Amino acid sequence: MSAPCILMVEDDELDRFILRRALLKRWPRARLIEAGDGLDAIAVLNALEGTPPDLIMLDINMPRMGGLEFLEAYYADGGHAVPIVMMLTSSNREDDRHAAGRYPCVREYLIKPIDRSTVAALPDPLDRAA
Amino acid sequence: MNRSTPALPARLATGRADDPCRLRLTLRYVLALAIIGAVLMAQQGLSNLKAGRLEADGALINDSGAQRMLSQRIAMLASDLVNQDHEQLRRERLGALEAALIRMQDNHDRLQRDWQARAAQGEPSFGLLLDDEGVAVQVDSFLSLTRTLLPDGGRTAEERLVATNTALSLAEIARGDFLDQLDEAVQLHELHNRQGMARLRSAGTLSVVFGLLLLIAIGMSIFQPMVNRIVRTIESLRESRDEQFELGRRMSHDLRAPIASSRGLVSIVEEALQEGDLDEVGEAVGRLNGALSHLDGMLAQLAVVTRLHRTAPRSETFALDVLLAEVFPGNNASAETEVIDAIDRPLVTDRALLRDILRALFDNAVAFRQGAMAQVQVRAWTDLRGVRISVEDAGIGIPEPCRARVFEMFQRFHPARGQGAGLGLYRARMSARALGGGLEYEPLPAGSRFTLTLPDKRVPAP
Repeated sequence: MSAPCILMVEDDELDRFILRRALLKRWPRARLIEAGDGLDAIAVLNALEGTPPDLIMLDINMPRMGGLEFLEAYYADGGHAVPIVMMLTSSNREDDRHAAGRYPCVREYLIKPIDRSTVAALPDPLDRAA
Repeated sequence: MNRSTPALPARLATGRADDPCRLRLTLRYVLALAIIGAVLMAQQGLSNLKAGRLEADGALINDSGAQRMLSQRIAMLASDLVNQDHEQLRRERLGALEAALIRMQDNHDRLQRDWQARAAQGEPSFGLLLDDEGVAVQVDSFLSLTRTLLPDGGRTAEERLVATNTALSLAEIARGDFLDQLDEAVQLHELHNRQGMARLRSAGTLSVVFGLLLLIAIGMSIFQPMVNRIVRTIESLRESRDEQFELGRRMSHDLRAPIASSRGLVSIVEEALQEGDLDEVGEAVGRLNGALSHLDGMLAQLAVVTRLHRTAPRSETFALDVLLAEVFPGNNASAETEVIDAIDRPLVTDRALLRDILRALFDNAVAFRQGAMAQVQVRAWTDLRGVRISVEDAGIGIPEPCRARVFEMFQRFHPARGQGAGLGLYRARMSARALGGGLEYEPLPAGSRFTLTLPDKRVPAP
């Protein structure tokens, strides 16, 4: 099984720890890249130009630039392939879910905490038909 | 340190603050209504008085006009009487003559009293009616002449001759200048009445103008301040409600995050225990402990925020330089601080709240310093806006996209650097507002400047 490259965009160190563990449980050889907020994520993606990650796990509420603002900025750029995005949030707000649903790349809307069973149920980002 | 009784809660959100507010508003509108009521009553009283005078004038015009008719009737009855031989008809003429005489005399008495009163009040045209050539004397003579025909109009031939001459004289008088004089008296009363009506209209207009000016004055001095106060109160309540709503919304969201993380860690502990991975159990438990401590700190800060909504600030007198030295310790292991204090007199405000504000600004400057040492400069001065205290640092600053949210709840712009709940600046601004002032943020090319403004409540200069 090949290993996906996953960008975790999450400001909370604890949540990154939990997510990292859950992702590595499913894809032990996955390449995990971490960003503290949307601005960091854009910088990371620019640095990865040509080899975008297979999956972005994207928190909604972050300082400087939140997940929805990141999506807006990243889509507005338009000059690159957009990976699969899975949103992360600790509150199930309908307006956030609705806003995220406007972006075709957003496949999942996950409520924290993200544990092994949640990640196990996710579609494989390497399977683009998923 | 002097301590005074705490002031009423600034936000008017409690029943204690409502009562004096209601009392003040009630007193104001009761005063306004009392003034309006008193003016209306005074206007009504004046109108009644004026209407009564005009009514009396109308009666006098009637009396005056009736004198003309009565003089002619008397002359006609006198002529009939002396030419009448039939005893029964003579008695009827005599009765009618006597009745006309009495009525004319009564009218004359009333008119004379009125003329005397008006002449005494300085109306000379009425005095002219009473002089030797005036109509009053003429009427007296006419009435005296008429009385000579009573009680029987003359029985003997000699008496009948005298009566006939008297009747002729009366008829002559009733055709001559006498009637013109009576007409002039009527015209004088009518003129006086028209003048009275004109004065009444003017008084009515003046009264309306005065009433409108009074309403404007009452509106500006009583109702406008009331409206302003009510609007301010509503704005304050709306602001407080919005803050409470935002607090609830933020709490419901931001408190869920550490709880969700803690639940995630508990799941990890359970899985690690099943897998027998004690190292991972240890790490997860350690992180869980940290998460719970963080949550505890956040709740403690929220409790302080909630108290700020409910508690009125104290009025304490203290020296600012002592407080500044307490909060900003000069040079130490993590900060180099310079304090420039140009405030020469003690302040009167809530020392603990002011200390919290300054402490939050200093902690921020240290937490988000550039390099090993924070460079902090504190200035205190007074200007037209009040007492000003600025805290300036040369730290990493606040990212441009985040500056609009600098005073909002749960804002952590550098989560890798600060471990707080993101409530420090929110609390600081709330405290500044509770003290009647404000807190402003200004980005610097390198670092930040926060300027606190407080009402100038320094101890008066000796």
